Amino acid sequence: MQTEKFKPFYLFFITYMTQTGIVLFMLPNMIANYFGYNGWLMIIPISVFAMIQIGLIAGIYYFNKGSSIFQTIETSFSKVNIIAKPLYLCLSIFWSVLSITVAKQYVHVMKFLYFPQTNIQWFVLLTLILTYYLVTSGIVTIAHVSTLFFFLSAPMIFLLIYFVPDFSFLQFSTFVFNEHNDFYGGMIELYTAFLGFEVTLFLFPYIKKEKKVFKYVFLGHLYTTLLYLSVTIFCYGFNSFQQLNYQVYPVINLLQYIEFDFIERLDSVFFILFYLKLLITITMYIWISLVTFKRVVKWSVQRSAFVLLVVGYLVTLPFVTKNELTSLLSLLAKVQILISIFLPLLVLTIIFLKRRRKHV
Amino acid sequence: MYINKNLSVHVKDRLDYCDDLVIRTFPELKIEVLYFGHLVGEEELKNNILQPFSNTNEEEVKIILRRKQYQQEEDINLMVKGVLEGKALIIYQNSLAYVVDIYVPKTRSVTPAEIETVIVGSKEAFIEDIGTNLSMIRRRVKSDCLKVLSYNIGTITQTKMYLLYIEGITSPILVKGLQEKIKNIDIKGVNDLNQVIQYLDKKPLSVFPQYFTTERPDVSASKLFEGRVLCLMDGSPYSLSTPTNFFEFFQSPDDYNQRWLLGTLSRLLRFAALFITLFASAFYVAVSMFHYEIIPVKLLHEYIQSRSKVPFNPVIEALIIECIIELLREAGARLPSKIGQTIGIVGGIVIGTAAVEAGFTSSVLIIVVSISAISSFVVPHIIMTASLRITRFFFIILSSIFGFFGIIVGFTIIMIHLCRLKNLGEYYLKPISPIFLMDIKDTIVRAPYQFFKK
Repeated sequence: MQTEKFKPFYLFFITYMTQTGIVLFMLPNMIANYFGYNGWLMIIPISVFAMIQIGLIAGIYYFNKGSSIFQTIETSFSKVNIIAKPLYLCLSIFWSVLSITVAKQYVHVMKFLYFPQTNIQWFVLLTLILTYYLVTSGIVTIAHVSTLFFFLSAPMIFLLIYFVPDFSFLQFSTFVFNEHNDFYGGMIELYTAFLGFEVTLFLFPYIKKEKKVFKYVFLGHLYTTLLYLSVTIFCYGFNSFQQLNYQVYPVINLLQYIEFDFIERLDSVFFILFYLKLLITITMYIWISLVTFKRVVKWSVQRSAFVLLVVGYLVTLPFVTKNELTSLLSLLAKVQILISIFLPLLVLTIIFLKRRRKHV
Repeated sequence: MYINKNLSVHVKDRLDYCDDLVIRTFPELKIEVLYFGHLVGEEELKNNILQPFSNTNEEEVKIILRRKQYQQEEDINLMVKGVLEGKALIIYQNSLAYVVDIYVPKTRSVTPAEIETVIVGSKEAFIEDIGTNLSMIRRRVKSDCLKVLSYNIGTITQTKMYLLYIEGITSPILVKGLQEKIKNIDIKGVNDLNQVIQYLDKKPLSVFPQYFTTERPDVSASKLFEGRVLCLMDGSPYSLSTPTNFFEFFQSPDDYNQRWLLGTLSRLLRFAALFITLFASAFYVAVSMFHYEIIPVKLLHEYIQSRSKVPFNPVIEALIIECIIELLREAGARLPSKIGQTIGIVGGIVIGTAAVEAGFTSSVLIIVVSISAISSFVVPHIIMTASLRITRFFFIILSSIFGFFGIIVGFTIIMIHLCRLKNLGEYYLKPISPIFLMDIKDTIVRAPYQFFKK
């Protein structure tokens, strides 16, 4: 891997770009379904919970003094490798499958909306090629590319201004969480929208050492929260609650409403522009999968990345329809939640045990 | 090789079958002078050879030859090299050799820049003589910090090359890096600096130019102030500067010579032109093949009417028109400027109108392709224009297969490629990626000079 390091402020872009994905387009519908009236309020506590998780990761960075978590795990006990190596392999394959599933879900929506006659596999293959190209360029290039893509895709948020004239506070109503179903299930689903911050756990050795490194991860997370909040609030203010409950992709519906004199129906342009953001999400998961994989197998980066992408592709090959993909992604995301909670805890425990041993 | 007997025979032997070699003898002084008549100046020849050695005697010759301009040479290789470089070789008593520099290059005089033209600012451009080019730089940078290193490139041509930098501004690592690269070039000969660049390229397969060349001495001097290394080559009216970044190709001296607002706006216009030239035709193809929902209803009627006569697929149609534009451009470049204009009129107006009337293409496409061609010429540097034109075809083909998604895929590939490109350790997309906010004031925009001070 490259020994080159990047400045901590790139963490802002990486965190934000990894967190947001296709879920943004369905978020208001998901929130309306699970939490009912004024469900957008739930974004705040869930975001705070994710923030606590980031705090844990920041703690690890602080205690670890910026060295890789793999080193921390591998030097904890004498025979840890017997457990660690198979675990690494499983995690690595899991992340590769997760990222390809994320890609497939986006591609499926795109095909469903704009390319009804094209086979989904073509889009997946193109995405794999791009991911391979980006992931083999090294983390510094990924950081640079994510910055560039951030600036290209971030101005889309200004489109919300278009809806200001039609925005009505009356739509919010005075009820809070009425007509909700499966509150706890909804919280888990909503938490998956914030997943992505955990990739920073693997970035430690690649960050230039400066003060307040994790400030940028927090800022990235806050930006994601702000985006989710503003989009959901606008959806709640623009649509009635009943409409929101029926629209599968309310944000796309919102985009379809935009119309100028010289151009009509810009949603396809914006939705496809969103691919830039998605590519970073996929690449980051493939990248952590690659880093983990390389701890076990001493292949070249190119070969490892190729193998991981092929494995991910083959595993997800049977999943084609929307329902299959949604249920697979929901399952994988739940596993990822567990990883995002327990991996930092595990590493922290190891660090404390090590410190204790030192003091003894 | 050191020889002190029969020197004349040995030198003449080396320069055998060179009928343009002039040999003058002064038998009474036992002096032979060898030089190439077309490399030397008449005045210099008269002052250094003819006058001193006429009407003199053998005693005085020794005193004359002690003068500073006559350098004694012992190595026969250097003697021959000297003659080839335009020096005169004086062989005295067939055993001692002296060289005297009387080289006067026969080149054209300095003329206005033809490719990188400006509205406001200096007009002069480099010429083929390296000495004149260097003088144009020295005239602009009167500082002892301007250092010039000399090299010869090409095993046969031995073309002279200068590497210039300003001590204290340019990083020594850059100078060393370029020095090594130049030394590693192993070729028999080069004709132009633009050839050398291709030997220096780190990624030869890339579409984008990795070194910045210019025909303008003022731009070259400004590159020196920016801490770059500059290269000049004999026989080439261009200079090379490195490390290069993508945004340099979108800058023109006009941006600096005019007021900042105008400079900034013209730069933004050029970036808009970049997007138009890359995506206009591809966008047309994508819209006609996949995303016709974005055309407003009022326009749709006209659009369908113009497309209805055309027998081809939009991508074939676009490729045909793009190829015609390329043909016109190539023809215009090869022809003398007066006939070139006629080609423009014939091509642009006659063929364009006829093609639409014949039902060969739609009128919308003609507009799109023309705008995209015009936009490509807004980019001030011809090398970048060429790269963009090639990239445009790549986008058209991708958009014909996958619509907007194809354009985004192509764009992503190009972006990743540009982010990976490095030039002497510096990123090609700097200051956008990696991001340096302070440098943006002189890349995307041109801030007032007062802001540059930091």
